[in-house]
Amino acid sequence: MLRPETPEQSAFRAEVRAWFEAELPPSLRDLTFRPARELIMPWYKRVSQRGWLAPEWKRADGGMEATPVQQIILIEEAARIGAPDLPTQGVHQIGPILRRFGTKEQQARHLPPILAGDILWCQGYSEPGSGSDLASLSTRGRVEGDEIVITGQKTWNTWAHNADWMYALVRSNEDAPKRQNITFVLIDLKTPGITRRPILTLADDYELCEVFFDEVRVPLENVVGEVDKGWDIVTALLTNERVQIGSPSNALRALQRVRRIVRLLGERLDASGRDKVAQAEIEVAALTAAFLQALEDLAAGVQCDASYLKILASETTQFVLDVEQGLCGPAAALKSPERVGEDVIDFSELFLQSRRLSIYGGTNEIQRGLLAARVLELPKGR
Amino acid sequence: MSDSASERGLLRDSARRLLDTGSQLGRTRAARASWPEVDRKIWGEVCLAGWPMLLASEVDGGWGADASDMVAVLDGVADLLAPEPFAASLVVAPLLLACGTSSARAVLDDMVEGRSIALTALGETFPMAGDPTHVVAEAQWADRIVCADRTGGAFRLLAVEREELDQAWPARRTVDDGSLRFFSIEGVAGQELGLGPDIQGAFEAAGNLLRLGAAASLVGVAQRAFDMTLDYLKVRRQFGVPIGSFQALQHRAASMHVGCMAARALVREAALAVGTSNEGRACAMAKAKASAMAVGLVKECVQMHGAIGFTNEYDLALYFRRAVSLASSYGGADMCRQQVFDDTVQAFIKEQAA
Ligand SMILES: Cc1cc2nc3c(=O)[nH]c(=O)nc-3n(C[C@H](O)[C@H](O)[C@H](O)COP(=O)(O)OP(=O)(O)OC[C@H]3O[C@@H](n4cnc5c(N)ncnc54)[C@H](O)[C@@H]3O)c2cc1C
Repeated sequence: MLRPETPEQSAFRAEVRAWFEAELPPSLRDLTFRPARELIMPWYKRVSQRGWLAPEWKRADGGMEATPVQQIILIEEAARIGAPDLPTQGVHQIGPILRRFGTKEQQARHLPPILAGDILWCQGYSEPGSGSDLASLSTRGRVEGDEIVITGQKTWNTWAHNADWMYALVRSNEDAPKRQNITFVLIDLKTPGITRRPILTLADDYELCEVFFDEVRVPLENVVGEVDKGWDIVTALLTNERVQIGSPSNALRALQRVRRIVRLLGERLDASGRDKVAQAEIEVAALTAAFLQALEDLAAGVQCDASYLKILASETTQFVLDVEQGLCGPAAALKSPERVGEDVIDFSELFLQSRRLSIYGGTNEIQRGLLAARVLELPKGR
Repeated sequence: MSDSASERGLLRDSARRLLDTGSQLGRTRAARASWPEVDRKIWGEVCLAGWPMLLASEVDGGWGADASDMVAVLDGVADLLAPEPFAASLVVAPLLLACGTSSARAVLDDMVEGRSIALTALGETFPMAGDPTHVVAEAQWADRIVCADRTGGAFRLLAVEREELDQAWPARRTVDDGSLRFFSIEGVAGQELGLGPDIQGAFEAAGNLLRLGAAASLVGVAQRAFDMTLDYLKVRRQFGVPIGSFQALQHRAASMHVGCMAARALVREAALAVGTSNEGRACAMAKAKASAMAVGLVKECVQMHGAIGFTNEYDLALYFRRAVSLASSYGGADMCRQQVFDDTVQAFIKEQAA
């Protein structure tokens, strides 16, 4: 953030910084991988209790009604200290969906454990045959009495092997047209008939999982919205949450690492390296400005286009990590981070992981297509 | 000055009303035909309306507008490609007022009353004949040039009459039919407007504002070129369909949109940093980003038009050349990135040490 802070904002920054310094265990700082569930969840709970898990939320929902600048301050301070990425599928995805579309019972049952950090959720949309063309999905959900019986396979499910529940899309009606026979359902992953297999990624971590369903019986009360009407939920604009996809959090975290390497290199950094570092600084400043303005627009009731933010945030992060790779020279291929003096320097792990940013959440090609159609109003693509 | 977007909109609209004579870039093309002669009619109206005092404080009889107002106006009028040195003129009043001398006041009065246009030269070097040390843009409009004299260690701000330079340092034409006058002040008398570190600070601030203003103009130019291109993608048909239905072009158009929006966001954010310790870095960031974005974008615009985009007659050529010219003025992307690097690393090391 380039703008000056008000005294209140500076005080808030000081408070956040002091709190992070005091509360965040050193073992959780500057990690490149998501720590194991049992290691990360105590921290998740502490952040949640502090009201900073989803700071933009209303107080009644467990947030702090943070202003746009406060949100940026939190993001910047988390990046500065190297706070770990939290498993926030529950908070950012299913939570808002349940608040808008869930029944009172569903909300009362599922929302509190998400905030408390007792239950982890995963998303079950993609299938081997259905990625970008999600509406072609083929996992069946047959309604039988007061149950929906699920058979099929989901895949690329982030952290599903660590999750307790999955929110998923299933095809509930063979006869109706493609988008009018999809049901949105909540599945307890302990239900009999479910098999999970973690998937090792290119970045050598078990971030993903595939999940098989064999006649899995789920009570109909776990359907969100109506049977066959699930597609409306997926495509509903949850503006507040969608803006978060433009968070500069990953990019700032990457930039922090670039800065450390720059400092270590000192005079050894050549002119071309300096130019790239400056570019990285500028691109992250632009992303931060864009995100801040999207939040301000939102607060003023102006809708923001999430495709633009997603493309910008993901590609800025990837760019910064490209720069980091370049700076590392002969060490760029090293697998694990190393401690150098006071700093932890990592070489390739974030770079490898960052490939995913332009794939998940709708690939950047799909986002560009959406942007061309909806914002630029170009003729239907071919 | 203005707190709300709507007030800024009014400010922008009144600037547009002055500069837009409904000639559809006819004035731009006329200026091209008559270069280096300039038509001062509209400029007289700009002065009469008081625009040169936009950034001067209200105590000094100015409008008290801030950098955010300035970028909103410049982004909003850039598409007109007005030949007048509107953007460059805005930084002059605060600089002259900071001098607090009668000589500076006189230069300002001449400017405000439309008698003599003073523009600011920045210190830049390029190994041309004579080894110039300064350059002023929009030089065909500059009756007087306000510049720094650092000979002898101390900082002096000078006003140099164009006649003092004409012989040795003629103005050179730029691709967008403006001009640059490279010069050095060796052997030039000039008139002292002020001296000392405070004036130096005001001069550096003017340089930062020139950069920021150029960045805002670049965003406006890029936006217009992009809008023209989007229109063309919708109407031009090949293979029986609009070319805008080809995904290869759609995706590039989406990237152009993202780049333009991000640059505009950065320019607006940088404007908020003016007057703070972040000012130099923020303005350099904005200029670097806007320059690289705009030049990249207008190249894509030409490509997406095919041959028509390569003609002088089609207006895209004017936007292309304007973007190229603005991108290199007041510090191009590379030079700005050098500053960003120096400032950022310093800031980071300072923060770590603290
Ligand atoms: C790290 C990671 C985490 C994920 N987490 C989850 C999760 O938790 N839950 C979940 O359900 N899914 C998840 N996914 C899956 C993700 O949503 C899909 O990978 C994504 O939607 C793309 O689908 P796909 O992989 O089948 O690629 P495909 O759709 O087969 O695409 C292959 C390539 O073709 C391009 N392409 C496809 N259609 C078009 C088109 N119309 N125009 C132009 N190009 C096109 C794509 O952009 C891509 O480059 C995750 C993926 C990753 C990488």
